[in-house]
This record gives sequence, C-alpha cells and structure tokens, in this order.
Amino acid sequence: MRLASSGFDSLDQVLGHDGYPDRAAVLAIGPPGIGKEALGYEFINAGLTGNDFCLYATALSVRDVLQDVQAFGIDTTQKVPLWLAGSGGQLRYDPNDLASLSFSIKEALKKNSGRRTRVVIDSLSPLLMLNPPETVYKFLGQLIAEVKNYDAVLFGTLEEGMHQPQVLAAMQQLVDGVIELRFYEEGLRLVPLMRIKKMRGAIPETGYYRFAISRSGMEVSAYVK
Amino acid sequence: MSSDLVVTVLPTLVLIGLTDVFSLYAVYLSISVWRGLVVPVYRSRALWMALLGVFAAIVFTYEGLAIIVPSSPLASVEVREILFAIPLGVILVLINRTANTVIKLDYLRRDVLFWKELRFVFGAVVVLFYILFYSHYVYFLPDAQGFALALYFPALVYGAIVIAKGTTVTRDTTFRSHVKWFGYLLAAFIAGNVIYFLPISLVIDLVFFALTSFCFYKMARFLVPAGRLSASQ
Repeated sequence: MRLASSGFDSLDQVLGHDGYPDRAAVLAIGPPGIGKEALGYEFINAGLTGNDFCLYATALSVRDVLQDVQAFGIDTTQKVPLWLAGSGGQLRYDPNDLASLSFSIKEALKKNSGRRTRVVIDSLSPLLMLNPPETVYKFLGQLIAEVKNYDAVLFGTLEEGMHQPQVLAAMQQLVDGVIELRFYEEGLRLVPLMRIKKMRGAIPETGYYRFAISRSGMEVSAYVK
Repeated sequence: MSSDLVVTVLPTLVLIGLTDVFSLYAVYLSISVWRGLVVPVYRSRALWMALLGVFAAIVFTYEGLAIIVPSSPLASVEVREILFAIPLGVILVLINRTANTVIKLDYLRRDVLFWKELRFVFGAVVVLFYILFYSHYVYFLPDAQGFALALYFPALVYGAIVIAKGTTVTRDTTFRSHVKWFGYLLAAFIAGNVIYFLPISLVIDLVFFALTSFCFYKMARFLVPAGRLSASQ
C-alpha cells in the first residue's frame, strides 16, 4: 500500500504507516481553531513539494485561505494547488451546487489521472448546512468511490458542534480514516488531545495523543493521565 | 461577635472568595484553550478572556476590601474608579475579538452590520475611552469621564448587537452558549454598577460581582466544546 505523507513527520508516525493510506478518504473532526485546517494545508504543501497534483476546495476566497496558510509559515509563492474556491480560484465553489462541485473534482481527477492526486475539502460543514444530510452522504460516497479509482487521497474537515451527533457518525462511516482533535476535561483540567479513531490498514487503537501545531511543525506525544 | 463582622465582613470575605475562585478558574481554562488552539482569531479571544479574568479578580477583590476598610486612603472613590476602568476597556476588546470570531465562524465570512469596516473605529473607541477616562485624573478635566462613558456605551451596545446577530448565522452550539453567558455577564455587571449608586448595602453589590464572575466562568467553559475522559479511557 502506497502512502501519502500528512506533511508532519510526527503525525505520519502516529498514523502507523508513515502517512495516510492511498486511495482513501480521511476526515479531521474538531472544534473551530484547533488545527484541522493546518492538517489540510500541510497535506497539500507536502503534495506540492512532491510534485503531486493538488486540489483545494473551499467556500472561502483564495485570499482568505492564503492569509491563513501564511500564518502557519507555509510558503505559497512557489507552487499552488488548483483552487476550487468561493472566489479567486480557477474553479467556482458553490456549496449549494453539489452536482457542479462533484463534476469539477471528478474532471480534475480524470485530467490528472497519471499523477498522484491530493484533494482537500475545507470544510464539509457548509455542505451539510445548506443541503439535506442524505444528499451530502450520497455526494461524498460517490466522490470517495471516484477517488479510489485514481491514485488519490481525499482529506476533508468537519466542524464539531455544528452538526447533530448522528450526522457526524454517518460522515465517519463513509470515510477510511478519522482523526479527532478536541479538548477533554480531566478533573479540573482542559487538555487538547488527538485520537486516530480509525485508519484503513492500521491497527485500531484507543490511545490519545497530546499535540501542538505551530509554525515549526506538529509535536505529537502519547497522552498519559 | 460584633454585628459589623456578621453583617459586612464575613459576607464580604465569602463573596470575594467566590468571585476570585470563579474568575481565576476561568483564567486557567482560558489559558488552557489559548495554548491548545492554533488559529489566531480564536487564540486571541481566549487570551483576552484570561486578561479580563485577572483584572476582574483584582478589581472585585479591591472593591470588597474597600467595603471592609472604608477609612483607608486606598479605598477612596478615585482609586477604585481608576482600577474599575481597566476591565471596562478590556470588555470592549473582548467584544471586538468575539465579533471577529463571529465572522470567522461563518463559512462565507459575511459581514455583520458593517463590522469589517467599523471594527477599526471600535478599536479607536477603546483607546479614546482610556485616554479620556484617565485624563480626568491626570489633567483634572471635569467632563472627560462623561465623554469617555458617552463613547463607551454606544460601542458596547453596537458590539453586543453585532455578536447577537452574528450568532444567529453560526450553528456552533458551544459558541452560542458562550455568547449567551457573555450576555448574562454584561447584565450582571451593569446591574452591579447600578446598585452601587443605590442607598443599599454595598455587600449586595458584591453579590452581583460574584454573579458576574460565575457568568465569566461559564463563558470560559464554553470557549470550546469539551469531551470528558473517563477512567477507562
């Protein structure tokens, strides 16, 4: 099984096989601001460095995303992904129009079928807010099936706290890997922890990890109470 | 046991203790969140929460001690007002940070009541508020405090409306709870200040400050959604 580096060495080690499995869809779930986007940015950055074809889909404008990316110390002047964005991108992202979104991503996959491909959707939450959940499940299911036909990895983010628990559970069922980033109460303490809830090809584990994301990278260590 | 001890000193000490416990625990929670978050907008909000908690603990403790020892020169109205103005400005900064969070939480980054343009004016109001408020003491300008408060309250109301309206856009239930407790905090804080000018025991004033601190603790608790780790995990 080929692997796609997450862009963070420390995270690759925790994932068990030095990265995300190939032909897979991975979901990062967590509250706003905890670092899900950073995982997406680094994943794309690692792909661009390795000369992979990269597509970044977002409801935001390219300018907004680039501002965020630069805050993590990522150089955006050398190589850029194909932008499927709310504004400023090569392709227009409309969270209301799932058919068009699906078509754009599938076309990009087809055109670059000879290359290794990385697709980031940041975030899937607007889709769930603007469309019935069942429609989004169908859209995502078809998209994941398409991704598996190519040498591609799909990485999506999902906001915690904005969706019903059953919606979050259904979304997790659809994908091959789930990374959960969230705060936990332990007595009077509040600690940010990461958990690999599932990852295709890796041994299921129940451990929690402390993590810290900064401009210099991501530190991950096993959490011991 | 003197009646003064029972009626004033003991309740005051208990209320100061409660206020400080809530405020300082909220500071601890806010700093934990600040350290754990990555995105600057959310981190900034947590940091200003922590700062407000520190100032609230200092000011409310000072107010309590001033009630116990009213004859001390440090309990003069001027000293208390000078101290009290610090958290007032920090509340405006926190409103500013929360309104920025409202915009960031919206996946389309839509503007709310011209906030994107007016937030710089809002920032200028915070600076002007401090300059005018303290110029009353430094340059003995009699009307400066009035001007400061005339700037302060419209900014407070505008910021509160931006946050309340912006909250209707987001579906983030934790953020909504955070904002709800922010509203309660402002209500308790304003009620406490109104009571200060009424001819009733100042200890009642401290009850409202304790309530304010409790609301502040709840705000900190809802800075981020948090799960619970069980012993088996």
